[in-house]
Amino acid sequence: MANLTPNKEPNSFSFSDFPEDVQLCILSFLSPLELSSFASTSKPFVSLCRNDAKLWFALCDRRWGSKTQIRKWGNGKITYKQLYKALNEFENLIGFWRRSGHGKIAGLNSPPPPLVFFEWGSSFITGSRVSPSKSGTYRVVKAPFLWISIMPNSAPVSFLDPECRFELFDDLVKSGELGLLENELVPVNVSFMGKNHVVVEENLSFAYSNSNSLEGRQIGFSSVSSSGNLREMSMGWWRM
Amino acid sequence: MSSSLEKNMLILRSSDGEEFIVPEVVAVMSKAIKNMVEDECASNTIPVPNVDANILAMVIEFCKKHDESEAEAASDLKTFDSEFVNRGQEALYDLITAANFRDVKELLDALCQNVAEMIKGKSVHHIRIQFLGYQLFEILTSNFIWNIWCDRDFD
Repeated sequence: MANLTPNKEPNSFSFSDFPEDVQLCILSFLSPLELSSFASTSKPFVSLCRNDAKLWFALCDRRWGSKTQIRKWGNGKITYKQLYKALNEFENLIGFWRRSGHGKIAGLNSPPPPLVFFEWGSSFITGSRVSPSKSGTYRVVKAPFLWISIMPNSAPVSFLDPECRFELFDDLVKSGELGLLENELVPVNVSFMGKNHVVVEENLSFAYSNSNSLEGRQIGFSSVSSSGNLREMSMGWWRM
Repeated sequence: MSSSLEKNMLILRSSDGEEFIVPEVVAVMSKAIKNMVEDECASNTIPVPNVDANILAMVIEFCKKHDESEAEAASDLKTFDSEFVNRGQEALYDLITAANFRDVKELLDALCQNVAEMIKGKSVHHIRIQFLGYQLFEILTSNFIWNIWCDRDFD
């Protein structure tokens, strides 16, 4: 019976005594798994833990807020819960990778870059080719060639520039506005094989999967075929 | 009085009337105080209501350490933080309230992380008892009994 008597040691604070912003600050340090166990302790917390704009934003901001601009991803139209999932996966990319095998980019003689480096951008992740500079010093040249982001419908979207022509993401956006994007950049799928191997393959379904109307489909199809006689490519890197 | 005070020093007065002389750079780590100083509505003495001398001393200790050690190794500061926040629940609660009310972000983050560490790895009924003020008998006699049945990893 002794166990059933009220716990005499005073609980000097209760979680619900804190204002909501403090509660959110505390919860932002938990993982989704720990949160779900916390949420099942009481009804008000279920709704707090489902609050996308507050809690899921706080979670994203705590983990990646110093590295990227959380609100800019997916044009701010995607839920933070989806964003959390996506960033949790993308995060594994950050760092150096070395080429596995030789891969191929049809129509280009050069094999994919042997050494690449992924880093955070404001609302995307950039993959850059790292190569020795031509000046004969120990300096290296970093040329971005792969952009990974997320669309407002929460689908991941990635573009590859096989020839590394863009210096900055802004250049890319500009060329997109000029309509160059479709022909010059290749939509790709970036997928993990286990934790330490990543593969990039051309996303052939990209053009028409994003247009709903029949007309859109035809345009989509034609742009794929016109863009370059079905380039084939796949390349992979191992984590260093 | 203000003339006798060195420049760049501020006086903070706790809710129970004790006064602390602190460098301005330390005091403005509280955004609330920073705003007061910037708006020039702070005379030489800044009242800090709702925070007693005991807690205010702790907050100042934390801010001083963080101000001094900007150049120091980040790991030292981490050790200091984790020791600093390792306090009884009552002090922890008062500190969180003070940090939130005075808007001292580093302190609030360190304290909240400490509370989060307490929640991590606890079972649902453990959290209820420790953080939600449920008493054990309440849980046993209420409709939570079913939850406990499903989740009975009593320790």
